[in-house]
Amino acid sequence: MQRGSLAGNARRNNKLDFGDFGLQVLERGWITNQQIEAMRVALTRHMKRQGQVWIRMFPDKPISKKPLETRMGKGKGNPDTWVAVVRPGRVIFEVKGCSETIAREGLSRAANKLGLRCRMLKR
Amino acid sequence: MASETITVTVANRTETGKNANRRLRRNGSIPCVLYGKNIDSRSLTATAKDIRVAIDHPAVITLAFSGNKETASAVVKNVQHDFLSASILHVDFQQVNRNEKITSSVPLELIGDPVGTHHGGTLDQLFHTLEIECFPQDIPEYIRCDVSKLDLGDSITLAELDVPEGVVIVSGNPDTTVAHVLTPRAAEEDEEAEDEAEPEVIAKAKKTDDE
Repeated sequence: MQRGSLAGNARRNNKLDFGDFGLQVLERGWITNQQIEAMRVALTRHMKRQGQVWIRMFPDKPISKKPLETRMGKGKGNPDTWVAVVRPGRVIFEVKGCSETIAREGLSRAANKLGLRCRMLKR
Repeated sequence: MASETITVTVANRTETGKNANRRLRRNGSIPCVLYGKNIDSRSLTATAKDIRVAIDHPAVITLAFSGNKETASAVVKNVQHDFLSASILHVDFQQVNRNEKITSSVPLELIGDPVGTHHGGTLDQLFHTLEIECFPQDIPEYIRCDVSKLDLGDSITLAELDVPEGVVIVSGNPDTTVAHVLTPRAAEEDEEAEDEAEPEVIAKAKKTDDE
């Protein structure tokens, strides 16, 4: 799979659809499956299993990588990781069933796992 | 119900399309449209300042056309916001007849601190806006609901809402839940654990009896 384009803004999934609070990405980039899992763990542990969490992205793009100390050529590398492509405005997490204080802190902890600027949305 | 009538000065808009509308927004105006029953839709423009006042006002507003003395009664039907900057992109006005009922959506505001939240519960609001049917002049600013008496597991349905006279909620059937206090999951699990533990105790007790 080629790298693809990150141009433009999120035309879909750019507002709250399920929860009362959400995390919106303000920059463009790739979010790996490890980052998504780290964010989910940070958020749900802070929420202490209260409420409900929606993950509104999915890492469906395989990224290949050549092994270390390998010469160029000899074909394409093997799939190494999976990423979700996000563009500015994309809502990546939604939360419902907890207080605003808990949601704000939880989403902030989740955003710290990400190398992209984010902001919290409130219904 | 808002008693004052707000007047928004609008002008006919001849240019349409994204480039013309972007130019308008850069100059502090906002593109709008007026439509209604038995009238042709008209493309309009208004100043952003007037629009901001109008969209906070749920009742009937008066549109005054600049250049002539024409006016129209209308309600704000839809507002489009930019999802990144939250600025207003476009506003839909619906022309109304004061003698004909219209369908409109109004915000549902929950007031009070539920009793259940002091016992660890969380208030869950399932509806944030309600579809209502009424005469244009009767549109309330919001529908308020006191939830301070809700304990853990209690809920409020559409039928229990206190709506102003002449207003009918058309959002769903009367049994539809609009808000409830959720029992904390940790507490539920503790109760389940206790329930599971009880039979074991009985079994042990029986064993000791047998012995």
